[in-house]
Amino acid sequence: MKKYATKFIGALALPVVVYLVFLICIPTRFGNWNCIYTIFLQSIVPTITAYAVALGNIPGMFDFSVGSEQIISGVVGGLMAARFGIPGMIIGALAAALIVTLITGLLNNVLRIPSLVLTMGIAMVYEIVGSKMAGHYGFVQIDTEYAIFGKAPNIVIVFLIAVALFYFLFNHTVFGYNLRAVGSNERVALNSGVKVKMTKLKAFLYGGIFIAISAILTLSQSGSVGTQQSLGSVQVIFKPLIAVLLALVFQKFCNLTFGIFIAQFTINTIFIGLIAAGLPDTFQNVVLGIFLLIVMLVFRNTEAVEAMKERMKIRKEMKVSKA
Amino acid sequence: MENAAVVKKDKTFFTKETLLRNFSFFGLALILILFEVLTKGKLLGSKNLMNIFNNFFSIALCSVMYAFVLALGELDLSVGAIVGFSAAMAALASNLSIYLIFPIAILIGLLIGSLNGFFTAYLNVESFIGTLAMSFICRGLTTYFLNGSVGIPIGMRTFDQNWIKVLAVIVVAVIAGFLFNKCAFGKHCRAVGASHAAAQQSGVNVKKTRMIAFALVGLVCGLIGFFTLVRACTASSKTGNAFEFDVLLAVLFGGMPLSGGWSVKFRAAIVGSLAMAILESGMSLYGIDGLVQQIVRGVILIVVVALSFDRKSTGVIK
Amino acid sequence: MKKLLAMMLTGAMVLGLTACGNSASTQDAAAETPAETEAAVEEEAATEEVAADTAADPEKFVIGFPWDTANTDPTWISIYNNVEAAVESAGGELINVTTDNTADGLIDNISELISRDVDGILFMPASDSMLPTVDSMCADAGVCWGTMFRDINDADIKEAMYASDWYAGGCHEDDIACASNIVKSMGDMGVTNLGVINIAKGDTSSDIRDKGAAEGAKEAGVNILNTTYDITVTTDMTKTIESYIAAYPEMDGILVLGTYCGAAIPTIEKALSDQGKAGEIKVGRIDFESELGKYLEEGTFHVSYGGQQQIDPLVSAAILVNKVIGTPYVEDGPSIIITPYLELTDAGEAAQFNEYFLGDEAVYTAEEIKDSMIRYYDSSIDKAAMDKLLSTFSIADVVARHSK
Repeated sequence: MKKYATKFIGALALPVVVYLVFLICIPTRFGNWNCIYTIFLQSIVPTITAYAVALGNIPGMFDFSVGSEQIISGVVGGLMAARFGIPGMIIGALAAALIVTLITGLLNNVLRIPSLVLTMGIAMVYEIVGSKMAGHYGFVQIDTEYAIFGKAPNIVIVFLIAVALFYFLFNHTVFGYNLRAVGSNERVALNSGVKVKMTKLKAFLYGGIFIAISAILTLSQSGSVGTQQSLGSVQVIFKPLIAVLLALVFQKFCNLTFGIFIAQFTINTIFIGLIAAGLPDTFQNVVLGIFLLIVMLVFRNTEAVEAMKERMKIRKEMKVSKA
Repeated sequence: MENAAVVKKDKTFFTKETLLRNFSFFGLALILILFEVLTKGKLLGSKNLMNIFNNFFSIALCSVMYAFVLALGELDLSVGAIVGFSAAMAALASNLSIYLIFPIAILIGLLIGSLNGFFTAYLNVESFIGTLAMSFICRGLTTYFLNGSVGIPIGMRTFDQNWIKVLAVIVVAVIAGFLFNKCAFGKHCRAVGASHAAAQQSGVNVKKTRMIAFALVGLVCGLIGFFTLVRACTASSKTGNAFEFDVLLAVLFGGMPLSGGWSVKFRAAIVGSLAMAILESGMSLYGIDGLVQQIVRGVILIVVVALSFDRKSTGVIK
Repeated sequence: MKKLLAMMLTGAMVLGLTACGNSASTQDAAAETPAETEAAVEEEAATEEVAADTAADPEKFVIGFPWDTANTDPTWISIYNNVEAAVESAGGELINVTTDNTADGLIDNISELISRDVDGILFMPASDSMLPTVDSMCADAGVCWGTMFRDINDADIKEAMYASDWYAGGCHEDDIACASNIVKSMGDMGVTNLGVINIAKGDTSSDIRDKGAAEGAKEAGVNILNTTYDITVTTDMTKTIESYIAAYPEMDGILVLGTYCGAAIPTIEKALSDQGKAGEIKVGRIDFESELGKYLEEGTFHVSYGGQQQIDPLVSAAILVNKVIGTPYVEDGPSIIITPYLELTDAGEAAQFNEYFLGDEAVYTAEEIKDSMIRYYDSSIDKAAMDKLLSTFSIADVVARHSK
C-alpha cells in the first residue's frame, strides 16, 4: 500500500513540477486557486475523450475516427435536446455514438484491413454525415437550460462516474484483461483463446460510451458542437492521444485511468501557463512537442541509464579487484 | 519440399489471388477508365496530364522514401511539418542569398529527419510519438520564425519547370527503388520490419537502418519543401499543411501494409500516389463538389484497400 | 502483367508530359507578345462595345474559382453563391476547384484552372508574396486574375501587380481602420484590458487586423493582454476564454478579430455566462455570424463590424467579369474597390442579416448585377458609379430589394 502511494505521488510530480515552473515564472498570474480549478475543469472533457482513444490504442489499433464520431454524437444529442429535452440529449448522443462505433467496429472485423486506413476513410465519411445533419449553419446549439452538465458540481460528478467506469472496465473485467492481452501480443492472445475480434468490437463500443459522455459534456460546456471537414476531426484527437501515450509510458508508476487524467492536467497547465505568460500560442505546439519528447526520452531510457550505471559499477569493481 | 508445395499452391490460386492482391493496380486502371469516360476524354488530355503530375509530384516523391519507414513497420507523422519548416527556413535564408535556398531546404529536411531517426533508433521513442512531437515542434517554430509569410524572388520560379520536376521524380524514384529492391539497405529495412530480433541476429545493424530510413524521408521532405517554395515563391505557416495525411492515404491506397516486413512492396508507393492524383484530378474535372469528393475519397479508400489488402502475408492486422 | 501495366502507364504519362511541354512552349510563344494579345483583347472589346449597342450578350466566358466547397459554414456557402451570381449576370460559366486556401494549394488550383481554359480566375490570396507567381502564370497563359477580400500591402509587390495587364483588380476592406475602430469603440464602452482572438498568423487579414488593433489600442489606451490564433473548434474556443479569465482576472473585453471556428460567439457567450461574466466582459467581433442577434438583445454582445463577406466577393467577381468581357471599370490599371464594413446594432438587423445575407440568394441577384454592375450593358457604369452604388449598400437596402 505504501509502495503504491509513493508511486502515485511520483506520478503526480509531473504536473506539480510543470505547475511550479510556471508559478515561479509568473507568480502573480498563477498563484490563485481559480487557475488550478480552471485547469481541472478543462481537463475533464479531453480526459474522457482520451479514454475512448485509449480503448482503441491499447489493443494496438489506430482509431482516427473518434473525433468525427464525437461530432455526430454531439450533433444528434443537440438536435434531440431541442425536441425531447435532457433525456433526448442523453439518449440521442449515446445511441448515435453506439451506432457509429458499432459500424466502425463491425467494418474493422469484417474487412480486416489496417485500422488506420479504415478509421481514416470512415472519418472522411462521418465528417460529412455530421455536417449534413447539423444543417444550414454547420453547428448545433442547445438551450442553456439543457446545459446542466456544463458546470460544477454536475460536470465533476459525471467525470467521476466516467473515471470509475473506465477504471472498472480496464482493471476488473475480463474485457480489460483481454484488451491488454491483445495489446501486448495479438497472436499469443489469439492462441490462448482470447476472442480477439469480439474484444476489438467491444473496445469500439465501450469507446462509444465515452465518446457520448464527452460529446454531451462538450455540448453542455461550449453550448454548441461544430462540424469539421477535410480530416479536421483527426487533428482534434491528437492532444487526447498524446495524453494516452504519456499515460502508457508512466503506467509503471500510476494506473492508466489516473495517468491519463494526470497527463491531460499537465498538458492543460502548459496551455494556461503559456497564455498567462503572455506568450503567443504558437509556443504551445513547440512546448507540447518538446515536453512529449523529453518525457518519452526519460521514461524510455531510465532502464538503459541504469544498465549503464550497473556496467560502470562492475567495471569499477573489476578494476579494483585487478588492482 | 515445403518450398515446392508453396510454389504449387501459389500457382493453383494464381488467377483469383493475383487479381485481388493487385487490386490496387486494377483499382488504378478502373479509376482511370471511369473518369476518362466521365470527363469525355479530358482526364488524359495533354493539358490535364500536367495537373495529374502536379498532384502526383510531392506525394510520390515523399511516398517512395516513406516506403522504407513503412517497411520497418514505423510511421512518420512529421512529413508535412518538415516540408513546411524546410520551406520556411529556406525562404528566410533567401534574404541572405538566393543560393542558400536549395542547400538550406535540403539540410533542414535532413536534420529533422535524422533527429526523428535518432530518437526512434537510439533513444527508443516510438516513431508514432516521436514524429508527432516533432511535427508539433516544427509547426510551432515555422509559425514563430515566419511571423506571417515570407516571399522569395520571383526569379526562382525558373526551377518550377516540368522537366526539372519530372527528372527529380524519376531520379528519386529510381534511387529509392534501387535501394529498396536491389540493395542491402532495403532488404534490411524489411527484415527489421518482419522481425526485429531475427534481423539483429543475422547481423543487421538495426539502429543504423532505422536512422537512415528516417533521415531519407527527412531529406526528401526538404527537397519537396524546396519545390513547394519555388512553385509558390512564398512560405507560410500553412505550407505542407495536412501533407502527412495525403502521403499516408496514398501509400495505403497503393496497398501498403502498416505492419512492415516482407509484404511491403515498393510499387505500392507509386501506384498509390498515381491513383490518388488521378482520382483528385478526375473528381475536380468532373465537377464533383468538395463535400461529395470527401465521401468518394473515403469510400474508395476503404473499398480499394479492402479488396487489395494482402491478409495472408500480413500476420497481425493492426 | 503488372510490370507491363506499370510501364504502359508510365509511358503514357511521359508521352503526355512531353506533349504538354510542347503546348506549354506554344503558350509561351503566345505570351511573348503580350502587347499583341492585349491589342487583340482591346479590339475584341471595341467590337463588343459595338455589340453592346444591340444589347446582345457578351461572348461565352468561363471564370475559375478555387473555393473550399467542402466547408458547410453558411458564410462560406454564401461567398460561393455571390460569386456565382456575378459570373452568371453576364452569361458566364463558373468552374470551381476545391482548395485549402493556402498559398501552395492556390498555386496548384490556378495551374489546374489555366489548363481548363478559363478566361479569368478569382481567388482569395493567402499572402502578398504569392501574387507575383500567380501573375506570371496567368500572363504566360493569357488569363486575367482578380482578388477578393485582400489588399496588397507589400509596396514593391503592389507596384508590380498594379502594372500587370492581367490583374483585373479586386475588392478589399479597410481592415486596419476597421480593427482600429472596433478597438476604439470598445475602449469607449470602458474596456481597458482586452483578450484577442484571430485567424492563423501569416494570413494577410489576420496580420493587418492585428496591426489595426494595436494602433487602435494605443490611441484608445486599451491594453491588449494576449492574442490567440487559429482556433478551429468550439472546445478550443471555450478553453481559450476560460484560460483568459483564469489568467487575467482584470480582463474586461474580448475581441474576435477573425476566426474560422463555427459558432464562435455562442461558444464565447456560453463560457462567459458559465464563469458569471456575461455582460460584464464586453464582446466584439469583426465579421458577422448567424447568432449575433440573440446576444445583442440580451446585452451580452456589444459590437460587430462585418457584412463585407457577401458584397466583397460579389463585386470582386463583377470586376473580373467586366475585365474578361473587355469592359473594365478602369481602363488602365486594375479596378480596386473598397467595400464598406457594416455595423450590426440590433437583433432585428441580425435576423435580417441571417435571412438575406446567409440565405441562398446573393445580396444582388444576377439580374440586378447585370443592370447595375456590368459595363457591357451600360457604358455609364464605371468605378465612380460602383463607389456610389456601394455607398448605399446596407442590410436595409438588401431587405428592400429582396423582401417579397
